[in-house]
Amino acid sequence: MAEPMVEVFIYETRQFLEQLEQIALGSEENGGFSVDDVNEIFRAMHTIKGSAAMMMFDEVSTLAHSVEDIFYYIRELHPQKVDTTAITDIVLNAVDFIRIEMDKLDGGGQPDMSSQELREYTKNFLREMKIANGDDPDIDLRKAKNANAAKKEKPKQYYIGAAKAPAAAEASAGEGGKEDGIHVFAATIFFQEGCEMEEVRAFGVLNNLKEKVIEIHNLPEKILEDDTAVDTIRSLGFRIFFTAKMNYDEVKKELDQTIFMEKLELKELGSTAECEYWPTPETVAINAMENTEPIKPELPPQNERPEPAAPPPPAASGSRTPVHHGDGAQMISVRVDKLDKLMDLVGELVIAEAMVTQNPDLAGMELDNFQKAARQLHKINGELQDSVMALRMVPLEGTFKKMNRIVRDMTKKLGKKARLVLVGEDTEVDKNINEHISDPLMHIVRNSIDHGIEMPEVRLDAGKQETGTVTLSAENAGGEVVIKIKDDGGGLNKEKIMERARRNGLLTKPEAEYTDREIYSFIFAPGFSTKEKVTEFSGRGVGMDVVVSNIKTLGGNVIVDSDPGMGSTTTIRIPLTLAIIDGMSVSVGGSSFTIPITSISRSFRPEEGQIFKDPDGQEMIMVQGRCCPVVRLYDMYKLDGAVTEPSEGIVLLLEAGEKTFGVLADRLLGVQEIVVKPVPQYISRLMNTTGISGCTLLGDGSISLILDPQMLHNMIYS
Amino acid sequence: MEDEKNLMEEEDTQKDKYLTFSLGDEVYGIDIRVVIEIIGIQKITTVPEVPDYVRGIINLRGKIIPVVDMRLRFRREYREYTDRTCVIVVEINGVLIGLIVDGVSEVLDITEKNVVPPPDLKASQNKYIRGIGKLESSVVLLLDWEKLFSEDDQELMGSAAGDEPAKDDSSGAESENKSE
Repeated sequence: MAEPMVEVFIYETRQFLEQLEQIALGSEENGGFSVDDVNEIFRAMHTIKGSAAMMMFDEVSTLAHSVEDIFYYIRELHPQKVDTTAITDIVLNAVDFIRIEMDKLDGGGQPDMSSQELREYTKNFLREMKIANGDDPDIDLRKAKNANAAKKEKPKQYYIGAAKAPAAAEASAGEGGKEDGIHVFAATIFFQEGCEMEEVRAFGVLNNLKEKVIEIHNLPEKILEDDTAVDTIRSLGFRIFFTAKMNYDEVKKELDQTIFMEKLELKELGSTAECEYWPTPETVAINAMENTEPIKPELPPQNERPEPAAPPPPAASGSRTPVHHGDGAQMISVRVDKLDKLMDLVGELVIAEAMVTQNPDLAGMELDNFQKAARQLHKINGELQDSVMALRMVPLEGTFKKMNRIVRDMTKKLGKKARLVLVGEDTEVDKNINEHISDPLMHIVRNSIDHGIEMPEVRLDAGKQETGTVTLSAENAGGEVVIKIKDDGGGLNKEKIMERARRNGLLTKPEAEYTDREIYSFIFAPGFSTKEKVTEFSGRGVGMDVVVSNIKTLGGNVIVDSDPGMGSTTTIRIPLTLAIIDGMSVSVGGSSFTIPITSISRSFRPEEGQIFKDPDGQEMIMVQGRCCPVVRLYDMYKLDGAVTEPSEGIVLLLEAGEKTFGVLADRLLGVQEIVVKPVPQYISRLMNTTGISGCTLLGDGSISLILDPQMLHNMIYS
Repeated sequence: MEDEKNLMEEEDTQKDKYLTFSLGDEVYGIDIRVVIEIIGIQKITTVPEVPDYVRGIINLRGKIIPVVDMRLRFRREYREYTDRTCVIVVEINGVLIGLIVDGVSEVLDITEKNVVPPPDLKASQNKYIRGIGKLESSVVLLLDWEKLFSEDDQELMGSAAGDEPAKDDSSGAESENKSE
């Protein structure tokens, strides 16, 4: 119904969840909740509760409510005995629950899980905490406090006839009264007992009416900001006074739609003067100024309205989004698909530029001015490309910090001790990379702790520190981002991996020929696990193959190194940019292929007889004392009309990992910035083994297939 | 709501309309709804390791789309492409595919009552024919494009890797976005 609103709700809630998780983990590490932490958590939970109630996700809002209660208790009574770990657990469990529900909502579903169990647990926990601290477990803090507050603040309250509004306002408002069919109403709404969060519901009513009335005032005045409001609404009802062009029946119909409403008292009055409470414009202004912290979630329309509900202005929420203040730069949030679109357009632009500047019609012409202008265009295009790339760059920090949670949960469950050290978390990578790297990192970190880090006593025996260390580091290294996950655990057990590989039938050559790296890379095979027992965290053999496939989709690779007894290091290398690369295009027969320039080590025309064959017919070439296999592209792809005599074609030496091999093509077409486009799905399904990773458009509009040296290498060597 | 209505009306105006094309002596019809455009034959880049009826990929104004030779698809003999040869670009489940046909004739109205089901022959290609449309002096074989390409999918899916469904999802989402 109100899609943009749901979107904003999900977005904001997720931000709060992230904030909550970080605060909770931070507090646990520091051994207790600081006043700021408590306030922050309280506020975040409070807001989630409010907006969830607005969206009518009761399971979420009631859960948030119960967690909020704990922090309310801590905030108000400063109890001595606070079990930080247990509370952190509660917060994290709630965060997880809400996060799952948000994911469901995001995926077009409805949050439908019951939070009953968590809620009960939280309530009981609070009860026990109160008992442990010598407080009455049944005391309703809010009521107690509100009762006090109500007494204290009585003179301040306007109802009970206090607001015989100043004559001026009365007169003007009164005069305007009946003339243009404007009616004055006074309504009192009582909510059902035990529906909870009356203040939020009252706010909903107000919000709903706002657009339909001319002027509206309510008692209590401050609904969301004032802790006593709930109590007032419960006992005296929620009272609203408003002028509207609607008649009595229409107003009644409107108000009758209120959810959880027990009773409605609606009166039409002669003029605003009869209202018990009708503040002057000045009072309103003053009140508005006092409202320094507006919490104004919007209510989704409860009835089918013809016009779509306006999304809550993101700017208004700025004051409570968890951003650090004091940073003068202004921020806007942009939908990722808009950035993707922009990126696509820049890609098109790069192709279009090549189509113009390398247009075959221009061949052989002397075009000084044109060339100058073309260079200028090229420069601007380049800058544009860089800027768009930069837009999509986000620091790895968020993804890295998520790992804190995994380390915590796992060490707690497994009885191990480990800490996570983050290095270079401010390294920026493409948004796409950041998203895809999260899962692999999680699996590797899990693996490090489960398989790598030993039990505390084992560590002590081995002369290591009791607490293990997992270091997560990131750095930019020449067009690549390198992410390392290093642990100081026991390292990988080569014999065990080998034995398992043997049993799973993964060995393709004599055992003695396997290098350490090759052995270690077995752990990435699907279904591979050296663990005899399946634990909650690992051992099922799923996971590590996800690591590889995820990183492959990013065009990166993974290497594992291990030092027995000293720990292991997993290194992930991912190219920084995915969409636009420099490529060398070559022609073979009537087709053209493009190879990423970074993987070409050299290209040359071989002398006659330089290429020789082994007994199996595999061709090879000797280059700088090294013997490299050579494949003829026309042969591999069954193309006609290609150069078959190597001495008339050209050999490109390609590097894939540590291997070098040559491919034979007809001739070089030139280096060009190319935009990688996926091979159409219809075709790509068949192309698992062909070594083609995508396609691109050349300057003349023809299509060139992009060769992936790594895939080619695998085809040759398998 | 308005849009939906318009869309419905638009669909209605496209109902029972078929673009007819020739393959050898036969005349085939395809739902006008799925047809995006008709272009002349252009340079096709061949792709390795695909069935021979998939001729390769073409560049359609910056979009790269696969092209399927319908003659080969129906196990006819290959015929050199001529000036008459056309590529009908269709969008099926959010995927653009070009169909190479001998020639495109016209758009015909064939109401449902003039369509008879194909005879139930074994081992024939009739499984790709949804029905046979009767005209005054001739017949049109109405293509079951859904079956045609979904069966392709199944055929192809057999050899596909496990991560393919994910790709399907993403393309589905894309097409949804487009329709918004």
